[in-house]
Amino acid sequence: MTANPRTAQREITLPVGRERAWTMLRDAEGLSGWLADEVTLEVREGAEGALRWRDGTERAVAVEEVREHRRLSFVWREPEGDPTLVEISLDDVPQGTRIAVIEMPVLALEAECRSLDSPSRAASEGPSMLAPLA
Amino acid sequence: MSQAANRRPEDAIERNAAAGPVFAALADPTRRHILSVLSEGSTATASQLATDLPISRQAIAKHLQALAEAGLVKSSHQGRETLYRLTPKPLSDAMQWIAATGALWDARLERLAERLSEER
Repeated sequence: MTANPRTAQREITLPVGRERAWTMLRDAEGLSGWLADEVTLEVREGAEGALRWRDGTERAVAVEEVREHRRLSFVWREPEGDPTLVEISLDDVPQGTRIAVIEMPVLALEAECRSLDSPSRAASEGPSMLAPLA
Repeated sequence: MSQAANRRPEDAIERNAAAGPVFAALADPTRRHILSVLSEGSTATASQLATDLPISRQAIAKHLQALAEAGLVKSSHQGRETLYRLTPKPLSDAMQWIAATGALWDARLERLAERLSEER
């Protein structure tokens, strides 16, 4: 497994184009029914909102990046929890669209950035999880 | 449903709180190397670890400090020496977070697929 062991990563390939897949990410209506049961959020960079699930759990969410038909990223956290960054990317593949998700604690992401700046980081180090973020 | 099935809320919070600092500590490749050395043996001193790596004993000591703060290593004193050993639970909790979070995403992506196929 080449996935960065400091992140959770999953992906799925669906037989639709990126524009179609984006309809599930572009607004609260698209996101509800899969990301959460109830979505109160404007999908706009800097927007803050809330996600709720039928079991009563909820998360505060803040939108980081919106790149139409390409990427949605946001930071969310449980009421007493640490924030994590979620990045959802859409890529063209022969079979349709690959939807890839990476989730990482914000604390860890900040440390990864510092580590990249540090001279002790070996050039031979494997691909970082930040590469897909570029 | 699958959200609650994985854990009690307190477990989730505990694991969530553990994963960030652990992954932050692991972001540095030197610290990852220190952990892999410690996972092979029982204990090591900062000097012993320094012979393995092209950095100073003082730099190793700083890394060990960061690892201790994340709960990944524990120190004990034997005479004048400080011995370090791995405390594996925080790392396995963090790995648990990865597994649980991955499972949650599997469920979400499955629902996404269902929603997309419903809309015709």
